[in-house]
Amino acid sequence: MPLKPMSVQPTQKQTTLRVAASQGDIEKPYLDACERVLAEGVRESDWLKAHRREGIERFKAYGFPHRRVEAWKFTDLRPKMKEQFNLVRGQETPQHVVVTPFDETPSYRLFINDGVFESALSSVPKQNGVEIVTLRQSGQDLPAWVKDQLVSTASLSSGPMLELGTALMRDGLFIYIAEGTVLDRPLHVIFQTTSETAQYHTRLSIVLEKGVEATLLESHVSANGQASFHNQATQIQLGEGAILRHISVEATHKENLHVTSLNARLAQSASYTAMSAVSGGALVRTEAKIMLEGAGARTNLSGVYMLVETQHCDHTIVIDHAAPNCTSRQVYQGVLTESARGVFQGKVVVAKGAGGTDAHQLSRALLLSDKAEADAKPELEIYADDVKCSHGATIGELDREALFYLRARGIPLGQAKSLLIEAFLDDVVEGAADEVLSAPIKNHISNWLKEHEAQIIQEGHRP
Amino acid sequence: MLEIKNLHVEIGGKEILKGLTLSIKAGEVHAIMGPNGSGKSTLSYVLSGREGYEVTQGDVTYYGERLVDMLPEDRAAKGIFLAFQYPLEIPGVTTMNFLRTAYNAQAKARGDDELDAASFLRLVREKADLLKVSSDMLKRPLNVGFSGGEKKRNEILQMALFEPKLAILDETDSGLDIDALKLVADGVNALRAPDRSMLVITHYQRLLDYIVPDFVHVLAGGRIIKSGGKELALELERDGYESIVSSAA
Ligand SMILES: Nc1ncnc2c1ncn2[C@@H]1O[C@H](COP(=O)(O)OP(=O)(O)O)[C@@H](O)[C@H]1O
Ligand SMILES: [Mg+2]
Repeated sequence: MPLKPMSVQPTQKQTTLRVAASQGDIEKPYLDACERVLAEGVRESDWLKAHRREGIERFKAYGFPHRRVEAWKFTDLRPKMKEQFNLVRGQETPQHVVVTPFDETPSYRLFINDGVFESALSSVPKQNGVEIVTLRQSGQDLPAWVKDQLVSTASLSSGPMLELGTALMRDGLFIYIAEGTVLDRPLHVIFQTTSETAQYHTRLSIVLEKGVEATLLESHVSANGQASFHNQATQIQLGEGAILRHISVEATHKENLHVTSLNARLAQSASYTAMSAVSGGALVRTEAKIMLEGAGARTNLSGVYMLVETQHCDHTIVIDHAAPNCTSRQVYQGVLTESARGVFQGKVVVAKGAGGTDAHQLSRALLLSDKAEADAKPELEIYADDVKCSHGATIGELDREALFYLRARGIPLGQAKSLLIEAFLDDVVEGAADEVLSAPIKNHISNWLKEHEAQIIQEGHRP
Repeated sequence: MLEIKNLHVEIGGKEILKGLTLSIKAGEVHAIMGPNGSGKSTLSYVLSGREGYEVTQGDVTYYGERLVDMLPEDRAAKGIFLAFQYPLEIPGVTTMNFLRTAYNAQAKARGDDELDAASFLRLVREKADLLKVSSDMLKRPLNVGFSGGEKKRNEILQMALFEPKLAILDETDSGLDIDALKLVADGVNALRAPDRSMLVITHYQRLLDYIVPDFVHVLAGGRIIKSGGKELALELERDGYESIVSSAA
């Protein structure tokens, strides 16, 4: 394998407040599960067992995140972790395969059920230059590049959820694409929850070597109406000039918990565009760290979210401008009704010497009810000269005058609101993806609006 | 078709209309003139159902039906149309998409057939050509970046498409040069019909040279203080509002 691992830097210590005092009750069942997994992991190499052990020890030290930890300021995971989620043990191919927004998009489907890769439901690209390895199939003898990915993930995304995932991950999907390889279709990773009240911990890793261009689609769906807990870690590594488009949709059942730790490292002139749409889940959180390590690297992150009832969605992002002339964009827009809550924390750090940085962040939330809440905390930390940085955050309501105009033309209230919301969200989607990739997301938004019209209307606008 | 009796309207506790009475029969064109701030737009909003306008006394009936509690979208479906003094800009919603959504919403509410994209396009093109509304305008977000004249032509295009029974034109002439004014007036005149009434609100007499009304009313201080034929508009132009307001007081 020609991969030269980029030098793994020590974890940039975030404010890792250790909450050993309150540790215990909530963590105990998880730690017990860790020990069981380790004891039973017969088909795994000593290396992997040792790796898991490190995860357990570090998770013990962290404990579940507290709101006193800056990155978790607006999201209280602890009460949710008190629920008893079952670790799914056996592997059964699901009876039922749930639809995803990308079913019409030609792609290589990589199907992960309850955290385990299902080759029978997948269509793996079979061509030179593409390696796809799973932890379950290769756990006894992992290739060096997969170990490197596991090690960099542990180092770069370290935090309680990542460490717990290291200890408990059932499977992992590792994708490597060599220089000069051209994939004719996007890769579509589908995470389906089938078992009830399950917890599962997953890994997804993609390495694009120099100049490789690829599209990664990601769907999260559930085949049942029970609460489940998915703890995911995603590692992205882009070589010089590599381009990755990453589009994900969270459409699981409204009881689900889904926590993602994402890390992306970009070499010189690499480009990472990510766009997410969140409409599912009770609590959905993505903590992303994008490291612009090579000069001229670019990242464009955007997201839309549509939340009802008590749904909670949190985007916590750190962009590390470590090299000169890099560009970053963050645009997150969402619509919230009933008692839903949306959180955006975006931090841009411009290191000394990263001149020519161009960084923008924008967070906009539309509140459709008095009880809905949006929190935005954009931050800049600049240690270089000659940088262009900006941030903006708005929280507002639908424009009442515009609504009246539409209604005065005969468009009923619900439809008028939907039209304005759709325009607000589509704007983000169109800015992030070409027509082929934006169409499925726009459909998803449009379907969501139709299904939730009653919740969108809320209080009637009587004249 | 429209009976307004002793209408009192408050906005935020402040009384704006103070006993307005007006009766319009099918096919008639009534002009309402009055100084700025006299309540002309308020009347147009009350008739079309904008929120925040509280009717404290009096009543409005439209074909015998009470209007005051009706939703704006229901009024539109029943044929009430307001050409806005300041048409709203709505980013992200193309003019064409808006027109078809509105057309089909009204058709659905009336139990008529909705039109598919192709048939609707044909209908719009035919009406748009007369008002010199370009296909480029139709593709742009609603009223965004439109000039004043383009916005007003777009309003009249909607009137032509929706074929209302009561059209209220609120200062449709404001901000238009003479060519644009003629174009808009021709559009409106083409829509005059025995079953279509119009309430033409204007500050200046100029528009009434082109859209000739059957009746002219002067609104001042929230009431109609004088009514007459089309010659009243000329009198106002000559003597100004001051003299009429003071002689009526
Ligand atoms: N939203 C509002 N809140 C309070 N006062 C208003 C509002 N809209 C209009 N008014 C007041 O009502 C009066 C009539 O306004 P309007 O109907 O717009 O007059 P016109 O169209 O004849 O110029 C004015 O004094 C104006 O200041
Ligand atoms: Mg006015």
